[in-house]
Amino acid sequence: MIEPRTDADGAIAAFRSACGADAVRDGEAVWRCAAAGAVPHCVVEPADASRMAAAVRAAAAHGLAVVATGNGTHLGVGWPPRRYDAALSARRLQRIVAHDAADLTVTVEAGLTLRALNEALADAGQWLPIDPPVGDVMTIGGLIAADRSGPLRHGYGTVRDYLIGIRAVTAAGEVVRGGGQVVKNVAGYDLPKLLTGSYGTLAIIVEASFKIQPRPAALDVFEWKAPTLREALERAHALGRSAVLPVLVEVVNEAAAESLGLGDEAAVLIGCAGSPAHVEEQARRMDMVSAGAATKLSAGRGAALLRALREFSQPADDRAMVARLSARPTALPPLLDEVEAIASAAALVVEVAVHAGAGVAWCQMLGAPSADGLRAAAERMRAAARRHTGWAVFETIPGELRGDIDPWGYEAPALSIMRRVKAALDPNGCFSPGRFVGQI
Amino acid sequence: MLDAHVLDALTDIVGRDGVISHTAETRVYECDGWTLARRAPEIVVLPRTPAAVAAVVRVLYRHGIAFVPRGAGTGLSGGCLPLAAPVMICTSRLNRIVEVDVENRRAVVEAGVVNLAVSRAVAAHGLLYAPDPSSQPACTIGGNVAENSGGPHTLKYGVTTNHVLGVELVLPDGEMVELGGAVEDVPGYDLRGLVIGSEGTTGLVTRATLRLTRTPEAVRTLLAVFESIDDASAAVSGIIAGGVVPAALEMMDRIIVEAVEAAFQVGFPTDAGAVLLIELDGSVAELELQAQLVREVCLARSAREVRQARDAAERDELWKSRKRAFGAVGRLAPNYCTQDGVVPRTRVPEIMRAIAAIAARHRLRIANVLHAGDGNIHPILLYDERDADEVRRVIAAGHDILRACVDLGGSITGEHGIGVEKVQEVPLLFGPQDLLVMRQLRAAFDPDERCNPGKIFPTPGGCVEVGRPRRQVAL
Repeated sequence: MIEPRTDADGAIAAFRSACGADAVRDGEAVWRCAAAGAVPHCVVEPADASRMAAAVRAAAAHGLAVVATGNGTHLGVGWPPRRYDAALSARRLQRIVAHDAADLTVTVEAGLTLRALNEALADAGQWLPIDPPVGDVMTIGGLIAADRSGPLRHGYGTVRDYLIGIRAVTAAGEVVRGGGQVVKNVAGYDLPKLLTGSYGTLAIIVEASFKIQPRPAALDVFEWKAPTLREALERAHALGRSAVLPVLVEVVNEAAAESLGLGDEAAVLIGCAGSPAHVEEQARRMDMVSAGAATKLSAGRGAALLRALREFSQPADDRAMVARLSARPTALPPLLDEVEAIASAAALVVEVAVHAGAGVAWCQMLGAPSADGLRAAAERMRAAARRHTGWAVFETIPGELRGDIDPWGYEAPALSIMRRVKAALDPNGCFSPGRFVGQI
Repeated sequence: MLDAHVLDALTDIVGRDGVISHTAETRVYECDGWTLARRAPEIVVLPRTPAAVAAVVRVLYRHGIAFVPRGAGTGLSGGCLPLAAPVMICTSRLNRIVEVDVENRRAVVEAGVVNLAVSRAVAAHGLLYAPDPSSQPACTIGGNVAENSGGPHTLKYGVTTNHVLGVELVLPDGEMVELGGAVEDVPGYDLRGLVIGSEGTTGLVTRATLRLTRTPEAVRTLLAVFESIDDASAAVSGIIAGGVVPAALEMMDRIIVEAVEAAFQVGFPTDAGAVLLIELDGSVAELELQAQLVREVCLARSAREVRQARDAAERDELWKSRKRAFGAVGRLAPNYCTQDGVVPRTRVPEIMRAIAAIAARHRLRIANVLHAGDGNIHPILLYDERDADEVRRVIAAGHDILRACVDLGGSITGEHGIGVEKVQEVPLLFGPQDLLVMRQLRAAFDPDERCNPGKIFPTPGGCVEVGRPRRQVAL
């Protein structure tokens, strides 16, 4: 799969002269930057954006392939890169460039973690209301490049709804910008949208501007158990049409409930945020809609559960396979019925946690008797998702199947334009070659 | 002149009544809402289906002919002015609402469907389409997608790109692709996000999948009268800093207030320096607290009075003053030109002072309506088209205002687009390398620049000569 390596010493020397000896590491460090099993010659951690640009120019001059990263939380997603000479990490770019609380905007460098950003915003009673997994470690660049989200997307949306400006290093080694620092702006092409979810295959993000939100005074979590996953999904759907105004509606199947410590029944988990009066009113409405069956969790238990839900897609078991299924919300009940049937036929355990409003289901497949059986089950799940006009992305693939199964499963006429976009911005395939959809 | 057999081929696709070529009729299409430049296309083609659009584009592609897409022509930056494009493809007959999926809160509509028609079609289900440009009774979804249109309520709900899940795009070679769709989290690049706001330079959008929003449970609309723009601006900052994100937060200056009062007698004190229109929506429990906070903030910033609409009729009455502001301006001068700039919302007082200075310097009257909550200003430059010198001063003042916006950390357009109007100002925001990337992206879609040439990107060939305007069109 992976082509023969280029000259390691040559690559390291090129990066050292471009951005300083102290910015380039080899040895142990490279193993932490393995991308879907592929390991680079070295890790380059430039001290600022202009040195990041210099590193890219050095890579271009020497025909080296680089993979953009931050703290490496999502290097496992996608195909193994065709070539991988160096990891270019933005982790040292950690400045908060500007935060004007009264403007509700913030501009930060890409290497700051989401947690550090939100801690800084907390002083002003504000936040970037995105709650992805590994947000404590994941950088802002990673948040954007991998387009991460969590349960709160129901009420608050995703990265693309908040990102108003971006600075990134092109394959030519130039720092370019798109968007700006104001909340409303239609000047020029929307590069922030294009780079969101592009996995570093078009440009390396070095700085981002966001619009942000006031932090709600209260966030209460309710649990509403259901006999089956299907019943839980139907309740979630009904809730969406009721008077309740939630910011998150998650549904878990029996297996996921058990691993989250919720007992052995499927459940709907609902979160309501806002002023105390608003949240109390939502509690009354929850009570009516569920005929008293939904229970409010204590603050501590609610927070712990939210944390566990947020981290759901990060498997503890390295033999697990994790799929992200997306479909119209009304297609999820029949689709997930099929998923459970496929898993049971393959003697797998499947834990399912669903962002019900968005129509996104995270499925962890565990305990596969064989790699072949796991692959066959995964392919059947993907086929089921496609039949329901949805998609299945395999975000975590166990080692023995990497390179053997398409992580993205994206085939559509638009792929030809995506190839043209990639060729336009990265004609020599310097950025994560082969990693993204269609092995772009 | 277009070749006769091209005309025949197009007529074969769209029928005789789908092609307009007589000069008297093409004149209607010589400009959009930005009337400072005019040029009629050689022909206008009016296809009735997405497939017919693709067929038309394929014919043009085979003959190397450039085209410009047009919706209802309500744009405010000359986005559908036919520059170096003899053919205009008008989407007004693509007016079907293809599907309303109430359960999943999606609608699939053709490009020529009018914005307000979407909200009307889904209102019975307690749903609406959130982006609400002032031209919403006339403007089309296709035009909204091209310009990434906003509106007063985008402060809370976001602009077009936040509500369009997918588009069907006819590429400049006539190929048709679906970008995004009814499902969230589609793998691959967010090309839908790139196409939205690309002002028709990546292809022609024939259908869009829209996200529908629940009608808010309750709405509170307040109107506060201030002595000065500074006081009103301070109130805006105070409201936002108080943790309230209103659904809309609109400001009108003294000139507008006077004009609105003269036209509609809504009971505004005509000596007021500024009026704020504040709309809150959400749950009843939340709204009472927020309305209280807004009232307190306004009074603390020396508001002369704060009114609150008691019912839907009063709410409509308050909004009427804002929505009809542009119409009322007709009383002030024979012609006007609406600018569109953005500053960080805390810099509103500074940009208002800058605009006053620019007006004085160019000897012009400039009225102001602004989406103050998100710093999106709409200075209205009043003039008389018969005065050629004044027309020149209007253009120069517009440029100065945009430069002032950029100097304050803002942008040259918040919702109207670059079009031809602001091509000269693009370099104020973007350097050559930024523009190079955008051009490379454009080339990935439209290597020969056949689709809406001369827009967005400053090129020597794309320069438009601003002629002497003839007549003001209604906005």
